[in-house]
Amino acid sequence: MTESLAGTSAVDTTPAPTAPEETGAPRARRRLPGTPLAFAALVLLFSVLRPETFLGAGNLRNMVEQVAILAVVAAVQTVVMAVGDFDLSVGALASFAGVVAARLMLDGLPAGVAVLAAIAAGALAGAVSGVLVAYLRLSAFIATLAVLTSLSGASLLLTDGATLFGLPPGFVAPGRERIAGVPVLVIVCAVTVAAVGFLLAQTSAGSRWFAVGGNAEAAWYAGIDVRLVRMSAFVIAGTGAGIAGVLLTSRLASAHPTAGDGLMLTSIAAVFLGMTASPTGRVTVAGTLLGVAILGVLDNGLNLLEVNTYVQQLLTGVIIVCAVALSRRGERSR
Amino acid sequence: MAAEHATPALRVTGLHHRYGTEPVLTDMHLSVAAGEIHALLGANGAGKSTLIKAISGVLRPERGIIEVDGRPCRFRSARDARAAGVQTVQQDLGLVGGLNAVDNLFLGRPMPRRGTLPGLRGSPARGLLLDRRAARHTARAWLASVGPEVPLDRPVAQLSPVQQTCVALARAMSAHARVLILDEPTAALTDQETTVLFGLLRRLRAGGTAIVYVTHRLHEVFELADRITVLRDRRAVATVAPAETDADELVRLMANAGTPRPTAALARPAAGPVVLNVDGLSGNRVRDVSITLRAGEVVGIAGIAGSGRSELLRLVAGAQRPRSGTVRRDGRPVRPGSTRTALAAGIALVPEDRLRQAVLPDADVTDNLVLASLAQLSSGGIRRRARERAAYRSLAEQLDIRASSPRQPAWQLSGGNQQKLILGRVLHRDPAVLLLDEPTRGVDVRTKHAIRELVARVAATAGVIVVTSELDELIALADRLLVLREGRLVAELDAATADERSILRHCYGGTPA
Repeated sequence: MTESLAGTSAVDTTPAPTAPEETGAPRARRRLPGTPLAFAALVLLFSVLRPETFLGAGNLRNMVEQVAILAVVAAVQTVVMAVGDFDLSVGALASFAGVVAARLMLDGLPAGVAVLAAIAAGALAGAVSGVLVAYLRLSAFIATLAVLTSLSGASLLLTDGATLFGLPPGFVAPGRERIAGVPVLVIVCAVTVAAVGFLLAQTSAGSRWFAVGGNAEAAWYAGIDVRLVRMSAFVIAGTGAGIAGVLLTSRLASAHPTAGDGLMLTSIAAVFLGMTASPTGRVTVAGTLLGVAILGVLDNGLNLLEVNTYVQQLLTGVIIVCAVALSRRGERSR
Repeated sequence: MAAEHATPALRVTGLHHRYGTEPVLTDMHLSVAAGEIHALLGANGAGKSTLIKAISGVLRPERGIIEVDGRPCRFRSARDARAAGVQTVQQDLGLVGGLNAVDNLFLGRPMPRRGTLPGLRGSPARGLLLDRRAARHTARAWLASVGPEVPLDRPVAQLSPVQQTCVALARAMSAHARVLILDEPTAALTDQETTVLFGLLRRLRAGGTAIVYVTHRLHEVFELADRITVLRDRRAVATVAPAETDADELVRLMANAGTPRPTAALARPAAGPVVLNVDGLSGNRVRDVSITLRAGEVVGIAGIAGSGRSELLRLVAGAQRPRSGTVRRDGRPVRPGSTRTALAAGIALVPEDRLRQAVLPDADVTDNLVLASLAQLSSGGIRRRARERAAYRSLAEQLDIRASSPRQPAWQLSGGNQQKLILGRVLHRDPAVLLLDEPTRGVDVRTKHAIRELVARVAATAGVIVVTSELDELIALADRLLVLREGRLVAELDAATADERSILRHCYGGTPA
């Protein structure tokens, strides 16, 4: 396993030195396959440095579990970025949805109702961002930052700043149980991500998202309701972040008012990394998953190497910038 | 007034330029004396803007000589031209709306400074702080040289149009303008403001500045200019004094005489049923326009730039919201301000600016083609790729769209192929009313012909309204012509008998008062 992976990586890396010249050719718009290369290089690096543990079944499963929830948030972030915006509130929204679910269950509601209410709250918060951006023409930065701030406040209010424990066993089970060795949580995440991928790639709604992101004015002239399309992307993001928040609470068997906050930056980073994997720079859920994989491998591998967590964070930032910058070199300047 | 024997402040001789293989300036000549207001007139595409670009250093002409005060100049950039004393005030004035007049006047040049650090006295590093008071003082002096009071502290976006024009003029004049080029400076001004501006320009003229004044308004030319140069077909065809000419002669000079009328007007059923009624439509730049369009006819809309042609089409297509008036399709009112509703009612627009308003550059040609028909080509919201491919194949063949594959990104296509792609996009909806805004702009000659034939074919069953700046094309395509001037319909002409001169006379408003 290690052998063959190392082999492919070596083949992958050989064309790299010639690539910059290629991209310098007139009208050439090919990008360096920075992201796949980075992924291969990381896998190679860690499997050489930690041959025993890194590619072991246990560690692989561990990695998948760690990134599954991020994958959901990154997938819906992909939708927002397809329409040319971004959503800073997804992390706070995930925290909030988790808190809402926990609060309702502790107040005695059945788990199913609490979960649906939490996801609906996520969709509603996304709709608020969507209305602010699409209809009231606020910049996505301001609007989603405001929603982020309010949601953080709401989460703290609902929890008094503490962690909510004592959730019903039926709710906590998916975070623990496995079907055929695969954690139920991972299956739920995979289904959600696949659904988002299908929406984006195979439906007319997906075409409209890309059209608005590619040229909103042209989309408008082609009879597309640009505002509605833009707003719907935020609703999807809110819904997905809500689902992620519920899953996170289930996995941790507790709800903390800031549990999901870190998902915001990493989800945006994953989409950016994924964007660089496509020859046209178009965002895709598949690309985003690759971005998620890179971040997951990086996190896991540095942990195995026992790198100081502060240094880990620093390295993650540097690596994201390098990958994105490298792939931008071939971009057509407009 | 203009001293003919003296060295002209600006002289242009034998200017040639091409965009690709398309000539845009052919042996252009122009001579402007110091202390002269020299008007440039010409129909759309006559070469006015290209000439201005060459004089102001934005474009490097292939051949020809530009002299300022007798010194030959070879401008490599707009900066070079400004340094040589050629100042240009563009139609949009080039001001930064959020900055006040003082900051705008000092944009791109050093502001006065004050203050030093101990020990740096007398060194070049002195002047750490901006001296705003001195800057205001200087700005006020510059503005005073131009004319009326302009508030210095408000963002220029909040100033009146004429005050903004003053700031732009002051900026140009403060850079020691020998030659001042003004591109349609009155487009945004009221009559009263225009009078104020003319007063300013006369003062600058008295100060010895050579002014090149580009306009579409004939009465302004007679009111203001000392001499007039008329451009046609990318060359200067005449330079005359206003006293020696009249509006009719100017229009005659601008028009191509006796265009051979291409009898390509295909045989069509003379008049089908009425498909579109526009009643009293008013909106941005459009005032009280009514049109009745029948299936099987092509209506051409003529008008100079800024007459409201594109705006009219956008109002009808729901891309802009009208102030008043209605659009009816087959007698039923169409909800205004929605492209989706208009398209569903069978009104389709091919917009003017292909790259900005139509093409999805990064999407492939199939995605571009199906953009207006996503609902029709999908089932239950799920895209049916086979149907999309079939739609692409059939339209690509019909319209001769040349893409390497259905997956080729649209930005790689030539302008002509992109235009056909956009035509295909709306034709796939089978519109009963097709609105075309400059359908052949920036496309090659072959495609031009193909598009014209296509329009004739579509008009066999649909009603078509065409806006184009090319008068010969307008005459060739249309059955009847409507002339827009300052947002109003001022004339209806039979395309069979119209010629460029008669159209232009209506466009420009004929004999001035």
